[in-house]
Amino acid sequence: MSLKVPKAGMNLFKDGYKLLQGTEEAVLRNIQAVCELSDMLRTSFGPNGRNKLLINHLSRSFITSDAATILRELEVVHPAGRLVVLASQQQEAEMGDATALVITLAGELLKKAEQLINLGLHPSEILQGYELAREKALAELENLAVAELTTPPTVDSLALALRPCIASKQYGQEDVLAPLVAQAVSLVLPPTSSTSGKTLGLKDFNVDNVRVVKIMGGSLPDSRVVRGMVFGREPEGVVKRINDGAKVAVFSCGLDISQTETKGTVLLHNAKELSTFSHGEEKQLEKIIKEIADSGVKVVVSQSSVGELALHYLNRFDILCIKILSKFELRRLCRLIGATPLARVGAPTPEEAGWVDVVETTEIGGDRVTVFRQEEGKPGGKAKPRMATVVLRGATANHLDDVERAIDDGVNVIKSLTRDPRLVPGAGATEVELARRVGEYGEKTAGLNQHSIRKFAEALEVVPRTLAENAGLDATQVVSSLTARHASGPSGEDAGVDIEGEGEEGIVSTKESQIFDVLAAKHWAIKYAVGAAITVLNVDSIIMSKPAGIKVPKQNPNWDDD
Amino acid sequence: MSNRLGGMLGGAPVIVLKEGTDTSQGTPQLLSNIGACISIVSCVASTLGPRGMDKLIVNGRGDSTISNDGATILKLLEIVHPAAKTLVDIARAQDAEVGDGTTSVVLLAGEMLKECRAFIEEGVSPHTIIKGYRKAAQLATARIQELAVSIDRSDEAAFRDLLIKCAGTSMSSKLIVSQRPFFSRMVVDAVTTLDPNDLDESLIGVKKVPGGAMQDSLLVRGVAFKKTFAYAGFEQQPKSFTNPKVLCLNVELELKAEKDNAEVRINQVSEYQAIVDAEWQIIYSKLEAIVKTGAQVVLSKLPIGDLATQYFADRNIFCAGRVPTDDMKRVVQAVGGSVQSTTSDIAPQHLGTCGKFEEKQIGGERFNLFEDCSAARTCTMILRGGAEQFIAEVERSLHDAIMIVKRAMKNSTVVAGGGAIEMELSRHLREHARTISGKQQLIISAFAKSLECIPRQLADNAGFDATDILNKLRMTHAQGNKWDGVDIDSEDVRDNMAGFVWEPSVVKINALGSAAEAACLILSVDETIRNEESQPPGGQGQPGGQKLPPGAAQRALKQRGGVPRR
Repeated sequence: MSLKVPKAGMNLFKDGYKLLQGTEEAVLRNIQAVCELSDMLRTSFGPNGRNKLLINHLSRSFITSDAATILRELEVVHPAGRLVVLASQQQEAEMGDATALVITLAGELLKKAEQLINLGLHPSEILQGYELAREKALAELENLAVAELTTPPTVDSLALALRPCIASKQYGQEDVLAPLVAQAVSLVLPPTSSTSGKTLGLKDFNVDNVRVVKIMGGSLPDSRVVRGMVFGREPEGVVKRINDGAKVAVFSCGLDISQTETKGTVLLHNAKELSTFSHGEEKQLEKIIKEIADSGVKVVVSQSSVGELALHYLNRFDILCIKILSKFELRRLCRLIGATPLARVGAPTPEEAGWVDVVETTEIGGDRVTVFRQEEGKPGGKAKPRMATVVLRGATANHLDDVERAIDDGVNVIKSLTRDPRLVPGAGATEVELARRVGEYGEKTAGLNQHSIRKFAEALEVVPRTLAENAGLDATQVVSSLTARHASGPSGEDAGVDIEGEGEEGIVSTKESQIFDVLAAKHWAIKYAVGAAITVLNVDSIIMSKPAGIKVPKQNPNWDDD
Repeated sequence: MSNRLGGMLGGAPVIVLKEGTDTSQGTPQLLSNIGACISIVSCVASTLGPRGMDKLIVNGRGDSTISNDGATILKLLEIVHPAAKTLVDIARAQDAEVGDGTTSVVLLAGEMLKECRAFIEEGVSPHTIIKGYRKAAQLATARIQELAVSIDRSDEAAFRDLLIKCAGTSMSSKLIVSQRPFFSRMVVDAVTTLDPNDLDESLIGVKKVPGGAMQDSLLVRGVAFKKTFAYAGFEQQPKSFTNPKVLCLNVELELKAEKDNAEVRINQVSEYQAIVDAEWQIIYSKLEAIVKTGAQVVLSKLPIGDLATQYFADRNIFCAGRVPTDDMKRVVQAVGGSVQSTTSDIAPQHLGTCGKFEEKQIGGERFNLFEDCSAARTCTMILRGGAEQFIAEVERSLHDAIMIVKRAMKNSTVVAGGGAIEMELSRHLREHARTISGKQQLIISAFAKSLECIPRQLADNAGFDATDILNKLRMTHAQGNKWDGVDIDSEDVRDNMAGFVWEPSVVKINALGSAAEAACLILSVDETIRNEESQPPGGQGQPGGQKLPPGAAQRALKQRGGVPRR
């Protein structure tokens, strides 16, 4: 009698589970998924990257080449693909720029790993090599810094640092946008205090202090920077403009006759009470508004409704009144004018009231907007206002959205520069140099690791290659001549891809044409890309449970089609 | 077009994107986007110019609109194609920025795309084209600024003349062309009454009264609004005043509960009458306060009841309740004073005054007219005409003309219309193109060629031989006649500057900039990814396309008490 041995693995999982195992099924498929994703984004990389027209599930359309936006709207479902997307989102959170670099590099690293796997290497060996190469690359990156943001930063030096970032999003417009952003940023940059370290004050720079307001109409060169904030609505009352400075009271509550939260009823007992009832309310409100007016306040900002009676008295005391419904906008306005929002209606104390130099209602395009401005040399405006607003003009909503994203990235670049002012050569020069140095390091390494280190070096070359491809140059030729130039010695270290395609070889000196990237952004991009690639390679099996879902209710066939 | 949903590896496809996502990429995708834009353009092209035809559009609810205005037509077409939507955007932007030239901007953008289609098919990188177009747009803008004729504002009469001509050019393409001198004077008069520093066009009221003929329309230097709903006693009120005091209120003059949350509890029956008396007392005290101010015309945003109406009639005071907010705003602008939300403390300075007030019959409606206002910074146009749609189109045409006059007042430089400036720019760009080498030469020439679409379309719509006219124009421009354009009246070319076909230069600058921007935006797209539309909330995961039974949405809302009954 033979022993009955049940077949292993028969009923390990419930029905509907999917199990993918082994190099063939799991690793290579994951790699393929990530490559699909990175190929999709490669055409959008760099200044000559093409835009994508995305329509998300809410039928909203985006026209952009910003990798972070594309990925956010794409809804990637593949688990390995999601890993890479997460890595780029981390980059977005950390640096706000160079998200495309993460995806492209991770995709390329995995593509090279696929070759090694096909040659017979085990994924864990590739991992080791990649980790070694990453350490080497990050260490070498520190040595490549060629320039620093000047301290204190001037408008020109800021514009210089911003240019490549903005050019990669809005190529051809960088000469308009970079000075605009630089001007806005330099307005709100905290002054450097000379006593306590070089860039201490700079670290307090808050990206939230640079606002963007988009107004349709006109064209991009009509955009400008406002020292203050712009709101897309008119003041409520008849006073529309204040020119010579005013105290501002900010209320987070509505301006109206106070009402009880609990449902209450006023009980009237006799005729006299009835006749004085509403008269009393008027008197009380007048008293409050008069108190506000007596404290010198000329502008009132309210977060919610302004009662008609309140508005009547505000008009009577020549007080400008505006509603700002967004809590965040109200908070920013408070920061700009230095006011404390009051939760009850009443006269503010001198500390609670803010100061604004000019409030005016103007027409930009077809929209009427209210501008809160702080002028230099006026009592409220110190040399630097706390907020600056870029008023963007353009003909299409999609384009304006895209320019806004470019500006956001630009401001983030400045933010990272305030922490680490070092700049490295752009236009792919840094990557080629790193590739050379990592490649050399690979030659010296013994054992199987040298293969993967060399592949890592090759993967880095994807940046110049993509730049060249998107610019319509012969990528192979450009990359090879770049490698040759870099190998020729220290003088060639700054050679990068010439996207204008004017030179014979397609090579440009980044130092001469002043194309620089932020070192910190590169640092994190390499870190996250390798991290994502390693995680994907580490996976050897995928177990997918049956997707839970409620069964779609069947339509009742008895319903009439009336 | 590739489908990115599945790359094959060992049989099963690798699914990266969510199911139902549709992607298309590469040149075919770009060409299809361009095709979509061109088909939109062909919709509106026939409306351009003095001989342009109108469109009749019937919307989902069966309302019909007749229009010649590019922005209005595109808005009503409800375009869903993502790339073609860009064109709707630029028309809207042009409408907001300058108010006129909406058809031209769409036409230009479409023509620019059409011209570069051949290059795309031949494999020129869209980036090269974008670069060339941007450069060309810059050159063209600079050239307009260089050519624009600036008008001397010191001579009031000459300046007014200029404004009338600009308004006339804008109207020449609209329904009201037959009454051009009449309406252009009216528009200029209307705009010049506004505050010159602000020029807020919302202070020009437009009232539509069906019936009568177009030339029965009139401009009131002051305010006019339709007689509001009136209670008994209104007939006894005087209907005409000279130099009346006007009081504007935001108070309800009716016998009703003071507050929603007040409740009267009485202990003795005898007090009941006292309460009733008190309520009457409240409204009487309000009325007395109003009478005491000496106002002869009382307006309120809120209802004025029959008690108050009769009370005013007894004292020879005119009153009107439920005055619409924007009419009230204009009244305050015209007569001075301010809107009062309480009657308790009205001082003389809160009252306004005007030269003449009267109630007048216009067509089938009665109107309240405030005229001869001392500090009037507002005016009202009363439009007459045969049909509802007709007056609506007249209103749109006048709006365009008002915007044009407004722009002309702000930036007082003009160029010649009727395709003249486009031909001149085209010539200038062609000349420039000859001086440069490389691909850019072709691109800039293409841009130059696309500008010719305006005179061509003008001639086409007028039924002329467009090729012939264009040839003549090219010739005269080459000879240096920079203001030669299409002459609609005699099927020829003529100097449009001398022919008084003038347009503010800002209209053209903005149109060129917007059109180039839109064309570049569409060219820069290399891939379209469309996610499956998510089910609207409350759809309970209905499988694609399956609909709830009719009326289900209303039923669901009704249960929550959502939809207000009509």
